[in-house]
Amino acid sequence: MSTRPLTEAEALAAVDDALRTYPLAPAPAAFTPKVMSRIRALTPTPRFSLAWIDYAISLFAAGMAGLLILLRQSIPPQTAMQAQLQIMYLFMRFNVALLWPALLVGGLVAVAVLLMAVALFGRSRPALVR
Amino acid sequence: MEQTHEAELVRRAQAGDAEAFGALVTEHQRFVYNLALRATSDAHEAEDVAQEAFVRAWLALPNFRRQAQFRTWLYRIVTNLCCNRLPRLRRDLSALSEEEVDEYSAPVDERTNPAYDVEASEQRAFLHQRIAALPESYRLLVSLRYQDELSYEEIADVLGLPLGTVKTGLFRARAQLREALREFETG
Repeated sequence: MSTRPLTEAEALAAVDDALRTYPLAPAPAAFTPKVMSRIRALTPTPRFSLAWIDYAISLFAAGMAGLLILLRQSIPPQTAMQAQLQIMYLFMRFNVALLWPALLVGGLVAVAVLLMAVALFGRSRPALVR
Repeated sequence: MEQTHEAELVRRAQAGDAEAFGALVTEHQRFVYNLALRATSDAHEAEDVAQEAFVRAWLALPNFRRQAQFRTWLYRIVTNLCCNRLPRLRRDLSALSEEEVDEYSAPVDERTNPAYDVEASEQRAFLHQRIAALPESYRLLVSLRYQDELSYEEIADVLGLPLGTVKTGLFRARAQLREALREFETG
């Protein structure tokens, strides 16, 4: 076949050349969109859902609001007046100067508790949900 | 792809940027697909392996250490997937024993005769057929070495094989092709 036999070096060069020029097959059509759609399928779509505690809190809040309306409508005017007087008397016995600092401290404690809850429970986020 | 640009894409993908990961898929899809194709010899299976490799890469991306090259890390995922699907491939690669082989450097081809060009292209086409007919383990090695242009050390790292085994495997693959060429010459 050949005009003269290849020397060992030439043969190895030919092998090396064939290895380097071995053609690459083209990537399959729409490869990237297919991969990305598989990745999207892994990522759970955020869905609106309520836990049992949400229902319980809502029920409690609705019940309390209903109770307040019911009480306001069912209390006779004389009893309402008496209750108002009782409240005024109660406030007169309180040290009013301490009311605002007490509210401030209470508020700060509430914020601290909320921040702690966020720090404790906000850390575990699924890797794919970003 | 420019290294810094790729590093930036990897950083963004690690932060959850799917668009950046899409760019990495586009960049590496051809080599990943071809690597899987060399190992599986089946276009459909190769596509499935390549897709699976990218999905796994996305899932494992938070654990990727940026000191390593993204490309070699990705190829390791591909070859592991191929070995899981083709247990014979892992066995064949492990069966490659280490031998003392000489470092081979391609000599400069001095033949400039136009008649030789025709002959050389015939030789090349013949050798391409023989490369396709090599055992999967050899095809994987030559693909990593000659198409992906990885160093011996990188190939050893990708396949989890000793450096000597990689050199032996490549030496034997070339020897088989040299032998095939001898047969081609004698007609």
